[in-house]
Amino acid sequence: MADNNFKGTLNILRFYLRRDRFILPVWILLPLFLIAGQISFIESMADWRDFMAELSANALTNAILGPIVPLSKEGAVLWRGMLQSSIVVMIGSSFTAIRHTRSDEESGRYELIYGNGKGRYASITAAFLISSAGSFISALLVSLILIISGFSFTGSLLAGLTLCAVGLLFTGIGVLISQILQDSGSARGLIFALYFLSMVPMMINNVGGGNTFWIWLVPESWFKITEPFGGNNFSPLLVFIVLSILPVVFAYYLMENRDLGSSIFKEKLGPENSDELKSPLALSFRQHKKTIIIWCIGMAFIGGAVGFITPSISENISEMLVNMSTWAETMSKLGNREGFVSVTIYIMGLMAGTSVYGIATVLNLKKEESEHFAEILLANPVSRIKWMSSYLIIAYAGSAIILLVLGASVGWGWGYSSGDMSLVSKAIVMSLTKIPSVWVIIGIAALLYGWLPRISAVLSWVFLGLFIVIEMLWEAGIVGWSAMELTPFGYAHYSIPINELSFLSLSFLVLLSITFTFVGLVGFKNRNII
Amino acid sequence: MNAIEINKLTKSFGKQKALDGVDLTVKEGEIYGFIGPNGAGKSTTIRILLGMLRKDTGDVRLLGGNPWNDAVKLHEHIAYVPGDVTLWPNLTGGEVINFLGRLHGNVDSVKQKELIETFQLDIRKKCKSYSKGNRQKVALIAALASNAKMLILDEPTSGLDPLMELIFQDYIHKAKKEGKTVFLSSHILAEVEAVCDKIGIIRQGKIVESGTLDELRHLTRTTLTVELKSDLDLNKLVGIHDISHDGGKVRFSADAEYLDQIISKLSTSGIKSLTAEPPTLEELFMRHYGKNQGIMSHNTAHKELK
Repeated sequence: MADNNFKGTLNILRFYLRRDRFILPVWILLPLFLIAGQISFIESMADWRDFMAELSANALTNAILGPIVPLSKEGAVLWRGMLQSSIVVMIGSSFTAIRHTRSDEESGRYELIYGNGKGRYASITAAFLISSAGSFISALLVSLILIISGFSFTGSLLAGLTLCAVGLLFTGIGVLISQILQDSGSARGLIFALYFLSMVPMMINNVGGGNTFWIWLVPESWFKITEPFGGNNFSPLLVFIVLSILPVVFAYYLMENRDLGSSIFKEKLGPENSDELKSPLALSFRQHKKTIIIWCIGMAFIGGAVGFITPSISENISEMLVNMSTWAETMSKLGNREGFVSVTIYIMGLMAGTSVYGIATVLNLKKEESEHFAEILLANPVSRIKWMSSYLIIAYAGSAIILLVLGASVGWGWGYSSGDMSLVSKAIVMSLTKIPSVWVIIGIAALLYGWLPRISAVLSWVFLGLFIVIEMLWEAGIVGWSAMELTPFGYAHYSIPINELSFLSLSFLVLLSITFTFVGLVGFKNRNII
Repeated sequence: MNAIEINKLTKSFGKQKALDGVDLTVKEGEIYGFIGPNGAGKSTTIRILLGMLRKDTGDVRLLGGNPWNDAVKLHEHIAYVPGDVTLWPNLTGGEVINFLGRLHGNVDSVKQKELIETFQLDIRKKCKSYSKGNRQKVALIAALASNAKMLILDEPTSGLDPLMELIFQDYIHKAKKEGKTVFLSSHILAEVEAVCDKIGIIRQGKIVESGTLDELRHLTRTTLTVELKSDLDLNKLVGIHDISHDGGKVRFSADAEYLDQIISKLSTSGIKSLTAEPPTLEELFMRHYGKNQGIMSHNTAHKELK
């Protein structure tokens, strides 16, 4: 009798939807809010046409975000909103897929489902359907809001379909790497790595005029290929669909050809003993060594590329743009090239890069605790302070190393391609001066872990998110600089030339991070182990 | 000296009362069996002893020290096996055993090797590929190899096969000979019967029974199976329960304090054969399930007897 491999898919689908009832709406609705926000932002600007024209002509914004295509209100909305929306859908769809395939298999939950008479493909199919449907609904909402705002139907539809294609591709990638890798943590890490890697072709494309072949390697910028409201190219969608189907087909093939619980890579036997594991710090180092190396390689790669293309950016910032926005005004102090380097180091070294490393490392404490690894360790004569510190040391030192690598590689690329090696030290200083701000964020995470372990993960990310939102509001001219000064970002901001950085403020940030950490340690010493 | 002294210990998690006045004493060199249904407070008690949880009220002394304040110092003398062992997935079993040994600082490396061999653990495998039983072995080997004065074991053999279970019991007997104190929380009553000197039964956060197995037996009923020469209406006798007939034999349980009376009545009817079974720990234990006692009477095995 032939077995129905898809048996029970609908049951599982309903079950997964229930498990995802809080997280699914977040990533599905976020693109809608992002695009709606951009529409109202641009509608509210009296001189948006001039502003966009100037911004589009500016070499710096061009290098970071690429040209505005088409140069219209619609184009401006997509230019400011589609990249972020695509990233949200990419991460959302792939993480959803991983969550219901590899995570469940890793924890053994999948065996419960499979052992209950469900088909072999039921789980993977349900995960695929949820992620795909999520991408589709998210895209549909974006199309709708564009149409409601009075934009052309064809362009709105195409914008949505492009977004949907990005989501489908990452659904496929998520399902595929869940088959290849054995633990869900590495699977999610690989998604981030793919995204960060795609920043390199994106920047090469932007600097190269915005319409090169490189753009095909950057799914989050695929809207620049289809050009909604401009060229309205529907045909690339077919290519996107084929690209999205390939990983899915491959995933089903692998699913059929491997054992449950394992990956396609066979596991090797490890050592009988390890001389390096002498203390909690040694363990913590061992657990993070790989992560730090991967961060460094990523930083070196992207940083080097950024530095290398910097001299090809024209140096001038137009008077008119400077007069129109506070952002351009502060940037004019730096000039386009240094500005580009400064913004990149700021984003990668502080805002969206090293801070993420720092928080993730501190939160590993929580993981060690909730998985009960901490309990078996702390039952030995090891003080709680020593255990927690061993992770914080890795967070502090690791972030400093990552920033050093970032600065050195940006500086090397920049210096090499411009023939001025003094730029190396400049870039290193730019990068290392981010250390106090990153440490404050690590300190906040440590404090939260010490006192509010159960919600520390969510709160830590909320704080970082809040700082990023303030940054975006400032860039949009909605809040003033005083708001930025409430965040650790404001004291090592990209708009501040390195010789104007306040040593006093940076020292104060270091003190603040030490205080936070200390309070966090006290909290951990005096609370129950969960 | 007492290794563990607990007086009126309470601990709540929010509204839920996990421990409701626990009193418990373990003498040095004693093997103490700590039994009770799921959720009765066994692990909470152990985690307070280890300084993982802070007590609400009451007194707790462990090896003469305060388990919360002196945790680090006390842990030098304690080896612990958690009930549900989870281990760092990317380390091998050997690495974990070694690492825990180094952290503990006081480990007999010869014994460690011996334990790895007797428990037949492949220490080169990564922990993520271990079964529950194998993870349990890793923690057991690390704990049994240490020279700690005291072993605190929270359901240490769940997931072990019967052969490994025997090896474990053997090591507990050895530990007793070495003068170690063992605090063993367990669901496997045969294991507790086999190794423990003293037993405490915890239920809903309170110790409901404690003492040696013999002492506990006095508190409960003995099961008798008799074949009598002439008929006797057993229902008229005081202290007899659960009468069932099986061919010519009658089976019933008798209260300890009426045993005397019952036997003399039986002998007047002439006894052909008689077997007496002391109450098993299981029967003792079942008495404390309270609400769940119904399960016993619905149990098919019991129905057959009636």
